[in-house]
Amino acid sequence: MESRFRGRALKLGPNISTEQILPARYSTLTKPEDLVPHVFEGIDPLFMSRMKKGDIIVAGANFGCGGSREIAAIAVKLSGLAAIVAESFSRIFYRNAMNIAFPLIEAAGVFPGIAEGAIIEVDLDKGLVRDITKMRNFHSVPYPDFMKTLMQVGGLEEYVRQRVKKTEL
Amino acid sequence: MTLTEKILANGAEVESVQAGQFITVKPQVILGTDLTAPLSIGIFRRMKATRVTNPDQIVLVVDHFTPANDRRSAEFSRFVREFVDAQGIRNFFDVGRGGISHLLLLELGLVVPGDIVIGADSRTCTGGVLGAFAAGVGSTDMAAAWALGETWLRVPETVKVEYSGRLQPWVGGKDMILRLIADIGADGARYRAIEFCGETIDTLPLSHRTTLCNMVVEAGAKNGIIQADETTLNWIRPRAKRNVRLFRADPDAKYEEVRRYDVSNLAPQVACPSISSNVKPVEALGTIHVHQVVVGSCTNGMIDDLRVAAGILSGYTINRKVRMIVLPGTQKIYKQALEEGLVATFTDAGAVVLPAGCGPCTGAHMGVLANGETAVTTTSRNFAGSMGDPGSSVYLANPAVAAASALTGVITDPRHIKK
Ligand code: SF4
Repeated sequence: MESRFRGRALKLGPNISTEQILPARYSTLTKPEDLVPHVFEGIDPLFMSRMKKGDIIVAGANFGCGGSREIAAIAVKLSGLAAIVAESFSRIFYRNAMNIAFPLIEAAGVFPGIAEGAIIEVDLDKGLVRDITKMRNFHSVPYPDFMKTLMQVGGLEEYVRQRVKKTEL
Repeated sequence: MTLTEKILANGAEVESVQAGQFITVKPQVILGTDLTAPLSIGIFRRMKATRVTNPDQIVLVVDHFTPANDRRSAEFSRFVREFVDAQGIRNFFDVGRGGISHLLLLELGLVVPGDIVIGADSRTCTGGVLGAFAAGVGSTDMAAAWALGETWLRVPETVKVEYSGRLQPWVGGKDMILRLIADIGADGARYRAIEFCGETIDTLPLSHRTTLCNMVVEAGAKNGIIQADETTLNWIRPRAKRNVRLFRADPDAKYEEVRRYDVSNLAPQVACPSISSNVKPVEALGTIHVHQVVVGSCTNGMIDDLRVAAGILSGYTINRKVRMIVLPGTQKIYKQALEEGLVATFTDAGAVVLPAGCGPCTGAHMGVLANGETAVTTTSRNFAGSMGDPGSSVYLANPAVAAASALTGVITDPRHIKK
């Protein structure tokens, strides 16, 4: 995965719950093409029509609160969004995203600081979010080593696959 | 070290751990449900894993869509059954044999003090009530734990919450936790452990303690925990199938924060839409008409909770504009409610008693709210759409408030019901 990328900011509010990310009634859908049209339907039914591949969500505090359904994080990744930048994330959503190697960046000030449609750049190694439109920087703590490993191998699934393979050899 | 750190250090087989550290542990229990396990089963296969490391670590429960409500959920349950058979998993609880996973773990002694429990359901934190470390994880985590027998954890900082004073009638664990969430916010304990203690906790029945630990995730916490005491051991002794390890926090344990509450004047609390921190004392609510009342779930679905609700309803019928749904936590609790005559009280009052399981709590099955409808419920979540249409409203309350509201049709202070 690229550790530095740019995208257009799409803003969502604080306390976005997994129910708003992907309503529970869709959680038994298994095909990506069935899931993706419903991403963020619980907050904005037109979200997927205004979203373009590579866009970056900018949100307030506690993004991903509510149920632990990993399918919410998976659907977001499948939708083509590049990352989520927020004031803070709920714990299980954060864990789920790390496990599937979908980048989340927690940085103070991003929600009031970044406008809808702004072009932003994310640097995962440095833990930096830069608003290119306004030339303003927001700092985050870089990932701890364990999470870097997960990101590099492409998530926990691949990490385990490599270990299972090793024990079989 | 704090209680949580003690258990995690033991699990990681090291002298000590500190907050922020990443560790690997072998959980005693890996919990999954029909909602999250099917995804894990697919991931498990993609991991090229063939056998689970230890089938006895695994508990699987069909509780979310039970009995199945459509072909897709039927299919989901079938995946789980096939996996259970293929892997030789003994702790599997199907329709009619179990109930809501979190209460089942407590009821069957599958969790004991000192355990590490992970589960692909956010309410896994409920297990902390027995002095265990219990935290929710995702489906990939669960698949990885099945395959490797271990999981990664970040040691959380601990917030200690100390309660003193005697609770008023009709006030309990639900009100204590709602007040706490209101004060610290829906993300006030993010990534943290909450350790409950104090004289109020010492005399608090297990059912109320369960509600406390069950709802810590509503403040963003990783786990809630209560040190095992006489109440815990009395519960565990006839049930436990494994050795109990009693840990206590060191006197010099490092807490990130200590909060103290005197509960003597605590009134019944209600969390208003659409976030659990939007809490008001019941008397400050004004007139709020309700269409549906739910008593039960893993948050307030133990026999004590049903007794409280039945106690308020007995001799009355519910308001004609209200549908009331009772959701016993487990099949055993259902049976006990039947034997004690509580089911008769509910049905006489005009309520419907559902099979033990998640029922309307998922917002997808039995008791779904229509646009513009309002519910008062003893469940744990009141986000927009959490019980049906995004245009419905959900108020969270204790079983006494919920039952009193079913009688009047508006959210009601149970202290105003004449008995
Ligand atoms: S009762 Fe509700 S909160 Fe508890 S496990 Fe079921 S759906 Fe989740």
